[in-house]
Amino acid sequence: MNNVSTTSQPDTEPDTESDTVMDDIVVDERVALEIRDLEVYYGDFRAVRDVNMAVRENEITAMIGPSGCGKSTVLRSLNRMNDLIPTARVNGEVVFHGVNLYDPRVDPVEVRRRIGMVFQKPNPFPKSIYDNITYGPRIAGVSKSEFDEIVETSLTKAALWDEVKDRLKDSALGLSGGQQQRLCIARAIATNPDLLLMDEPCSALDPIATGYIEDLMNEIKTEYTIVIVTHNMQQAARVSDRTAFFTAELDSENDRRTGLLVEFDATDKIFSNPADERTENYVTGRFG
Amino acid sequence: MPRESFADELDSLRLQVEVMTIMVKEAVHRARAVLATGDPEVARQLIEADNAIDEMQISLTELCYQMLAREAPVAADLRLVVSVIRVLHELERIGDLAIRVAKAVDDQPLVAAHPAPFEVLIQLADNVVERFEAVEQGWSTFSIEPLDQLAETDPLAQFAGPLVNHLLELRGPDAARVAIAAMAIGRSFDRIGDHTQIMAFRLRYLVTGDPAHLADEVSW
Repeated sequence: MNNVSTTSQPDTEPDTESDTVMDDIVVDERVALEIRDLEVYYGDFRAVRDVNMAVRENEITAMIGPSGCGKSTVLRSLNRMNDLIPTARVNGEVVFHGVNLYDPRVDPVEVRRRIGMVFQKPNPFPKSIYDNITYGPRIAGVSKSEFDEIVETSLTKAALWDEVKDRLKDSALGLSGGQQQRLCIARAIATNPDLLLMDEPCSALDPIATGYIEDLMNEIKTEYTIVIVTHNMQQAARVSDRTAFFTAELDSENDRRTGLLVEFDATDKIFSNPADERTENYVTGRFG
Repeated sequence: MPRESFADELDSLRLQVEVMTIMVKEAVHRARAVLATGDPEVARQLIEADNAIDEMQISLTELCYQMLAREAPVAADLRLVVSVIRVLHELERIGDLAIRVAKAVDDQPLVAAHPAPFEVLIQLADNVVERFEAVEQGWSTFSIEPLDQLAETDPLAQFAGPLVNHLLELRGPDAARVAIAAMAIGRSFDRIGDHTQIMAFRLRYLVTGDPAHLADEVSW
């Protein structure tokens, strides 16, 4: 479990003397983000434990699991969104291109610029389409002279430009649900992030709009690394390269449920022949 | 348990495949009996029973397609449905090959009159029956253990040489006809053995999930 295969094998044998927690993760140049022994607490309640996995560049990594298994909690910990919850506390490391995001010297605002988030429900600001896109760059101090280009580029990448280019000054709230979600993706990529986090981005959308978002994810993964939480297992099977299955177990100490990572592997493997019986039972619908 | 109805449908599918396998086993037994006795009544029963096998193949294939469309099964469930689709085809082919033996019933007295090649054919048929029974047991229990008793050699590989040699030694006005009939019967049992072996590989894939067994099917 937690093995991450590599496309480039090391020239030498692995260091068998090492006793680090990452012994079974072969790091290669394509790893964008590593989660090491992650635990998330809300007050004294441990919501998630023992998460070890590596997110690789230009891949879509899906997190699946039953409600309450901690997948959204883990996702939010990847760009320090949990910092906004006063009682939340994170143990372990989230290493992004070699930097532990929870190092006290790291600025969480910069983290969120580099790691964008798209939420379950489309949440455009009550502003114009144009202003939604330029909101992030404006805060980041980007020159206004660059805004027009950023707006066109971002909306084009989000496959929305042709639909809205003649009404950029209209309210974003006038767009359809699917268009609003693509606008949110355009807004997220306007700050030129390296990593996009998506928390059930299609759960409020109809199948047509969902298809647009899935196509979009496949297109933009050549430029971005994507982590998606989804309850739709067919969606995970369709769009992702790797899949992490989480579940929850009862903590006998406090009679509460703690989420944990059960299996992380290539999506084909997870959906055809998973290694762990709990994964098999979940993906076949026998539990959860 | 979520998706309980689908789990029930899969159980029902397993049961129906087991029933169909038993029907085909009966056909293989009858083919062996036609070869051994030349009983035209057994041949007639074999041919008549094939309609039911064909109908099951069609209806269960359709059921599998519906399951794929409606339930989008994954993992072991997906392996079960796609593997059943494969073995339904194998079972139907085995039924048809058994019919070829039944249709050779008129030639049976001629073939049986020549003890040496006839004995080889009986041994071949017994070998194939034994193989099919092992595979049937495996599919009934979803266990690969019964397959371990299967020899990994091609049945005809050990019987073909002796059979051909005996046939070449035949003399007299019926020699050619006996040889052609014996080869046709031997070929049918050999093909039944091939399809049975593919069912064995498919069961190994179904149980283990190892795609190497799919390669075995192709290379067999």
